[in-house]
Amino acid sequence: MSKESVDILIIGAGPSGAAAAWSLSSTSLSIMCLEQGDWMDPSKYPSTRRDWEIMRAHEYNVSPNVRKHPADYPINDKSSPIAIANFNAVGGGSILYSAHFPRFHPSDFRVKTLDGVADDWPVNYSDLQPFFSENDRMMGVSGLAGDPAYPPHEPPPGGYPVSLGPMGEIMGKGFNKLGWHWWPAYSAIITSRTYKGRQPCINLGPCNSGCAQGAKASVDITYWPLAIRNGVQLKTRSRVREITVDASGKATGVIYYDENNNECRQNARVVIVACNGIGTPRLLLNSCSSHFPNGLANRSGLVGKNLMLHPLGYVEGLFEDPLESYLGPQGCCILSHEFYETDSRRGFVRGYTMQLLRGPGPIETALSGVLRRQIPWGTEHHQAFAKHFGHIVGMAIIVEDLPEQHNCVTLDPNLTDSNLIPAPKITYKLSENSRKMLAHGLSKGKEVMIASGSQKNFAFGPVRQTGWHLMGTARMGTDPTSSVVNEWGRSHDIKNLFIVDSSIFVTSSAVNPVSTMQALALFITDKIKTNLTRLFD
Amino acid sequence: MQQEENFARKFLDEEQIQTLNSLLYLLLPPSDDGKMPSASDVGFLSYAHHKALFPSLTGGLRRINEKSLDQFGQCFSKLGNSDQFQLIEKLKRELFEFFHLLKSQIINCYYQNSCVLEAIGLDARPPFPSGNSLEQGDLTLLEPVYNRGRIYRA
Repeated sequence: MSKESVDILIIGAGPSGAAAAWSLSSTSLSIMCLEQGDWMDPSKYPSTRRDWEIMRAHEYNVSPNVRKHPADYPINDKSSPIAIANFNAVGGGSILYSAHFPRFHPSDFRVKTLDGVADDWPVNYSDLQPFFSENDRMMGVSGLAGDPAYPPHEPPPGGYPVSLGPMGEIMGKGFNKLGWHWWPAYSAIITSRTYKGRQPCINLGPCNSGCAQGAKASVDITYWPLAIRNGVQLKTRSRVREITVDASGKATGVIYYDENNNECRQNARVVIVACNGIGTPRLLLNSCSSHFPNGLANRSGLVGKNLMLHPLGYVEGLFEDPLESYLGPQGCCILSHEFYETDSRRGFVRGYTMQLLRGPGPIETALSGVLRRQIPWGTEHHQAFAKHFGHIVGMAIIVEDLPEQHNCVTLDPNLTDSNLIPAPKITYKLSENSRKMLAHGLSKGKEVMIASGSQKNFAFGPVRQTGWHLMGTARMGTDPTSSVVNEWGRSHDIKNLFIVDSSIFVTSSAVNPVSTMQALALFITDKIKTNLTRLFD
Repeated sequence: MQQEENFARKFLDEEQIQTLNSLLYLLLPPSDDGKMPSASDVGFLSYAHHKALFPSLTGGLRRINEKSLDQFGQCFSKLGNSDQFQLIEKLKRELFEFFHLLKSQIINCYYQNSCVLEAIGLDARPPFPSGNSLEQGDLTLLEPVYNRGRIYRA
């Protein structure tokens, strides 16, 4: 079945694809997006049910290998200490992310110049600054201006920071005692007023299983309604198998499977890939032809290479006072960039974020307490539970991992999805630099827990089920021999093929990537719009 | 309770139901002040029926009772607490998967129960649509952070 050609075909309706679609929808171009998942129904999100903690562990699990929704594809991540997390739906990963929304720092774009490792980006912070701001407005980011860890920028438009609560306050005091940086979280969550039709946060808690309130900015409720109103056609349950090319090596469109598993063809003048750091290299590697026998846009040999995952450490403190720590947006409270910038005295280059998490709900408190022998069975259970529930503070240590070619996405020779499309295989190990950084972060995390008054602490990492941040597998750069796309996301090999997701990141920084990824998508589509008449030069 | 046991009787015999109820009470008895119920009083049998757990529990329950008869000459449900604990301790390696499943499901069921949720200070409802209130917190605590000045590199 062949379909009429469109000007722009976007593959993937997640955060970057949505931003790209909305940005391009201001033109008169015909735009279509193909998404393998479907629209979500917020009235069915776990927070609407009493068993929300159990649903989060199963139907809304972060791993496609556990969830096994029809839209999911399996991922062989057995050769990685970090399991891959994603979500396949309109909204993509933003359906389940915690909406922690810090930007990359200026130094993150100049890693080689400042620290002599990896590579500088072909764009810098100031290039992206207007697009950070535009994206903040579109997503409705809340927070507090004046953070000395960032260059000055306008106040976040979504309202005051998410509530600190007693937990955030006590930890803030602990950071102050040590003289360390901390700041209320930047959150893509509306807090203090209605914003663009979205109601403010009511502290449901499990943001990372979908927000029934609509306060959290998943792109199915931010970018997509506007893009569709502007004429973008979004086709769901449409899984792309490969991008096709003509005799000259130019992209001609895609072959995909529709909701009835019919094989379809969609022609396009320009193809934009937005499938994330795993899905994008998978699609390119599955798109072999005589022009590109090793995968599309892969003359550099770097498609799938340099995978970065942000190894994550976990620090937990148990406090005597009740902190109501189970209340509030699960992944957003405060962050610290005290150890973000390189300090050679620490024995490693680059740095990490400390991201304060809310405490667990009752089921998770009991399960983990029993597992760790902190909450016994029998007559003493109730007393021990009461000492833990609402008294636990969690902290994530988000470590910057540097690009290394042996960390990669390849095609699994045996595993396929339900359409028999080869599935991705992940090969990844932590570098010595990452291990040192992680150990430092775990130690410093315990230090601030103690300074804040915790009675007991424990820390471990890397945590396996945390591979949300998928970066680097189709990196950008000015040299076609050492990068996949150029400084505005266009394939070096194919002039009508663009990539806008975090696979084009040159380095990973040490913050959650969505803010920067969407700013980059807006930057690239702005370049497409301003270069329309000479797009293929 | 009667309806619950009727569900269970489709899969478990009378002795297995008694053994399961004894295990529930043993692992999570009521609190001394009476505010927290026992796990045998939170509807576990209907929960287990709903989750289709019984086929995975029958073997373990049968084995516990066999061991009880063998060692003490009476059913598990008739033993005193210390003998019950002792017997479970002896079987924990042999029945590792059984106890792992049972314990995790007890917690899943127990901490959804209305009485339990209210006893630990929560409302017995889903988070949405009522939500929760949480204090903003004191943002003036940031003064020293701000006063320290810029820490980013350009």
